[in-house]
Amino acid sequence: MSAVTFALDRQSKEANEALWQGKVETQGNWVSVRPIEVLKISPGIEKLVFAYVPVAELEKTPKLKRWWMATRAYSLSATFMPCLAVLSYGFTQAWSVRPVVALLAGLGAVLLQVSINLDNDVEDHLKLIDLPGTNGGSGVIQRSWLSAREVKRFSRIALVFGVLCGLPALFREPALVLGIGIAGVVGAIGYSGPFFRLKYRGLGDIAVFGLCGPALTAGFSLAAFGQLNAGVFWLGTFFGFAAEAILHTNNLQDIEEDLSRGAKTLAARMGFSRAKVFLIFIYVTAFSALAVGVLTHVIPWACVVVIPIGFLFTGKLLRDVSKASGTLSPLLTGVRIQAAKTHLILGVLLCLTLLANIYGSSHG
Amino acid sequence: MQLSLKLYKLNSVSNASEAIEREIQREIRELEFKLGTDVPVSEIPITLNQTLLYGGKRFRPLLCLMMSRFFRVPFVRIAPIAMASERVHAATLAHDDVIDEATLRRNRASINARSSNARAVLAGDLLLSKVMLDVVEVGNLEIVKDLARTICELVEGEWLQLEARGIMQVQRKDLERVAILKTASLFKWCCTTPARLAGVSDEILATVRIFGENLGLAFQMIDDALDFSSTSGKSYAKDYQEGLVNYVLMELLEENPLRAQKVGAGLGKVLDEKNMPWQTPEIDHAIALTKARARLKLEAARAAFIRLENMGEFKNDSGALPIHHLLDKIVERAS
Repeated sequence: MSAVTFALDRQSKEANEALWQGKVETQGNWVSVRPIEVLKISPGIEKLVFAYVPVAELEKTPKLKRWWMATRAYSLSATFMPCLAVLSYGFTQAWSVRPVVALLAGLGAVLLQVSINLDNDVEDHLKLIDLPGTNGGSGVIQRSWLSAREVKRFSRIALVFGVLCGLPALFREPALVLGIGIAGVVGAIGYSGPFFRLKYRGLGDIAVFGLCGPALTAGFSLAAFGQLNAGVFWLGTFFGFAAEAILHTNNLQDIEEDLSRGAKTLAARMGFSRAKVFLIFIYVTAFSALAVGVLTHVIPWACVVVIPIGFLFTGKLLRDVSKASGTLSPLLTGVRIQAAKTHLILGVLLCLTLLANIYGSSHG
Repeated sequence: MQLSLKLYKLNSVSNASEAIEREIQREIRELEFKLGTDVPVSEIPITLNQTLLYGGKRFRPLLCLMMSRFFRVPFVRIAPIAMASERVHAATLAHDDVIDEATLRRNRASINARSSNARAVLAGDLLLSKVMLDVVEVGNLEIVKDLARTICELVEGEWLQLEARGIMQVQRKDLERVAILKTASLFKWCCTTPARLAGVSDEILATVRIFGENLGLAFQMIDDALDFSSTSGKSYAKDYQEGLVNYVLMELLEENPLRAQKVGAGLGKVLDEKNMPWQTPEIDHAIALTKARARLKLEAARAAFIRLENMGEFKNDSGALPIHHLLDKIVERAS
């Protein structure tokens, strides 16, 4: 925090412009600023405190690194891993792959998630949900490394390129891929954007489950192999629930805030105690989906290894959540990151077991 | 001519403020914080009188009396509230000392060290019940409800703080939640009760609450900064040694993320002075940042108070001056 600060009326045009630009004009020069505090003065009257950001501080971080951080690369496993798992799965089934289309479809899915991530960061920044000192979002806008306007622009570019990358996949199964593609774009624009606002209408959980789960794996399988079977569906269900767990752990902490803003997340509808139990249900269902796939012989038996290891990984996360006395509990601070790590690790493990299965079959 | 007139005005303002503050200090001395010992189990009030009700800064009663001046509530009506505010604070200290396993309080043996943990808890409970009885006598149900809510918040704040022990990844909003519940809630009650007795509108009441909350948050931040001061009378980095990340440590970790491992390793342990987990300039910078945040909260408190002054009916120089003076003094402490 810089020692030099100034305050603007929260609702003023100047404050809004400073939030969008990350800069203010003083004596003819544009100076970088960041919001650091919202001060309540009276009901309905708030002051937004900005701190000037020294140029030297900004120059410390290369522009490329700022953009890399803005994409929240660690979270991209939510779309990247299911695609990789389906690719590995397709090989186990000896399906013939269309490499370029597969690569573009995977890239398209990741770009759509990048677009969602960036858009979400901008919305949360403008609503002052992610001030410095909180661990929501990538933090690049809050640090004044990039302006909200730049991030918004890049979000739109990522969306357009994401859609373009998905176009070659349309040629083999136009109707189905188009349907999934439209759902993906609606999800990307509508998750926190101005039209659908799925996040605020209680549809965020379903959207994340579908778009990071069955819809994603089905779409990718059709694009890469032109094939679809029950195994793809069970893999999608597994990944969908693992991604939904990340969102649910996040929503657990925001129940009061979401309710006060009229946002009806699943956690907010359930209440804290039931939402805690629901997290266990999410993971149990995710692993069950995998077990069903294995038991019905549509997913290779080797994948069963993921289940006990998965329970081991989720153990600490579930323990922390069960110990938390309420939504305000500091024990919940790191659980979202833990859930994201769990998704990544389980995804890697699943891919490895699928690839090990191919190796085993070819040498068996 | 104009300059001398200004000087005269400033002097007279300052004199007026000091005179009122002397008057308020006299009123505080008039308040009998200690409990009567003419009861069947006299050991309880005697223990409380010799420990938690002995000494202290009496900041909460001071705030009550200052706000009552502003809202023109007579001393006789606010006196039981001012006493209650100090006793609620004392009751929370009784429970705090048990939770923290403290042995000293205000340079004397703490209540739990002097008697036992069980007795300290019971004494704290008795004190809270006694406060409730006294506040009921005031005859305003809303004030009783506010107090009951405040006590709930104090417990919730302490509970969350207990849960935060040993956790390094504490965020600013976590600390703010705990501070609002654990510290600012009683400040809010001290400020809103005189307003309630004056029969103010809901709008004024809401602004008073915001004033109290900002003041309480600033108070907590300054307290956290003093935790790292050698002149505070408390042991250095007490919170850290008890496993708590406070505002200063949070600033330190935010500014120096590479320190996290070393700071985390020593969290909740006795500080090794030969191998400190931070360097002096780092901690000094973190203290300065915490104080800067406290000053922001104080500015917000002042802005809220000025708004109260401009709300019409309570615009009176003599009632407002001590509050401004108090804010000046706290700002000075945070500089």
